[in-house]
Amino acid sequence: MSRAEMEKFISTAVPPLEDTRVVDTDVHIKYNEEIRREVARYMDKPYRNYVDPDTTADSYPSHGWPKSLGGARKFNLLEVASPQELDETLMQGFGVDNPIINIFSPIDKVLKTERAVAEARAINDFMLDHFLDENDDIYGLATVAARDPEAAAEEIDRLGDEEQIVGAYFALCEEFNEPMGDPSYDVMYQAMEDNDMTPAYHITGIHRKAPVLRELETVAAWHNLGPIWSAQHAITSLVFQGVPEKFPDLDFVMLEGGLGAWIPGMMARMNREYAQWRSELPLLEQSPEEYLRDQFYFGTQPMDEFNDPDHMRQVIDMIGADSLVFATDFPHYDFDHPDTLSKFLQHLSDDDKEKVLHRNSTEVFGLP
Amino acid sequence: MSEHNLGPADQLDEGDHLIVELKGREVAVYNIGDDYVAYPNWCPHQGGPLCEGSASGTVDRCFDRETLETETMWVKEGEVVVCPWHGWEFDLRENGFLHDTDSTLPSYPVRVEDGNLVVSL
Ligand code: FES
Repeated sequence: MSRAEMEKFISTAVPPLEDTRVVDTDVHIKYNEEIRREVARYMDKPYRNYVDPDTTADSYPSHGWPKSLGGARKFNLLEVASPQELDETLMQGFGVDNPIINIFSPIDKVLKTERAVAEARAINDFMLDHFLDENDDIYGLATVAARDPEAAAEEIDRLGDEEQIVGAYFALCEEFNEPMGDPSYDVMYQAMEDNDMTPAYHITGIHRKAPVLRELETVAAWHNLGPIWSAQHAITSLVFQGVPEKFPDLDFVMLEGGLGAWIPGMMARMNREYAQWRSELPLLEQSPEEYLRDQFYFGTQPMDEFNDPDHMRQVIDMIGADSLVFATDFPHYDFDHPDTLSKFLQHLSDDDKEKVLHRNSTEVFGLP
Repeated sequence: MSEHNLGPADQLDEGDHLIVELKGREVAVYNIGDDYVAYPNWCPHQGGPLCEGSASGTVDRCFDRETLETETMWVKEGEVVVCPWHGWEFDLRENGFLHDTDSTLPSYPVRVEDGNLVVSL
């Protein structure tokens, strides 16, 4: 990333949020050629050759975004590929004190499971060496190949002592993966609970699994539905399969499903379905709403935009400050600036504001 | 309080029930094996005729955190009635809906006197 690009991105009109600690739970590191080349160094052949861009130029299917629909708009506003770039943009420019990064890789889309397992491991070693070890303020989410839950559990055990790896990152509704509450994933959740690691679920386009989205013709229409469906799919699967009941010490963080009325809407909807079909969901000991309020946390980005801003404040009150964790989604085109969220929190007590901006996430992810 | 003689107790085999109108309200009396219970034929959800269905059982499941195995069981046979409108399950013995055990119904004392069922309202 050039200095000019970086400077163009930071707006002098919006000052960094400086008067409070800000933890950002959704920060993407672009898995570009430079990083792939580094990650390949941590791998053995043959899969090293699959990952190294100098031996295999294009070994990843598209990440799922129907780019052609969007014309010339860029998905990544910046390509942040080093801790220095993160520091100069998100941290200094926006006032984020602690980014929790994920390496935004297409690991769930590559064809070979064995390669996905090996590449995930190498990505984690890369993240430790290049981002975390020298930077105490930065934390990371592990990459795991969920399609092989035993291997994912082993990787979680391997990273269990790494204090700056605070959770594992799951891209939702990917084609090789099961629904997130599938019982075959219990072994991963067991490993996470044993190692005090928190699962974080990130939306995806899901148009491979939901082809009806392709019929909608515009990015606006697709993005209006796809990401939120993937979040709702994960929540439904996790709660109705009883994962919070099976692993009561786990918390579940939903990223990029958005901050909107859909969250309390899901609580109420799932309550009704549970009451009507309880015998199908016999592991549940309390209402879905109680699980969602007790064990689920929702990233604040993207914030829905009502015509009347008061409605957003009502939505925040319905969800409650105890259940929100600040997230920017930096550096993707639909990021939210911390200053904007902060304006919607003005009606809350200082205590509740701090919960949203940093206290919930430090507790959930075990940050100092 | 009023007492109502509903006739011979042996008209209800185990698992059977009857619905009678007493003082303008429908009351259901169930034989749950070692006991008789009586509740209004009314569901607090949307007012459906809760007791139109016969008593059956329900599904329970347990999970072993160490082995990660689950076991599915059929339990409470003859003690659970399912509301015919939206399917809420009512536990006749415990007086509570299975999805929300704090949600209870007014229950009416039933006793067998000289071989007859007597309900007090
Ligand atoms: S009225 Fe009984 S379940 Fe709705």
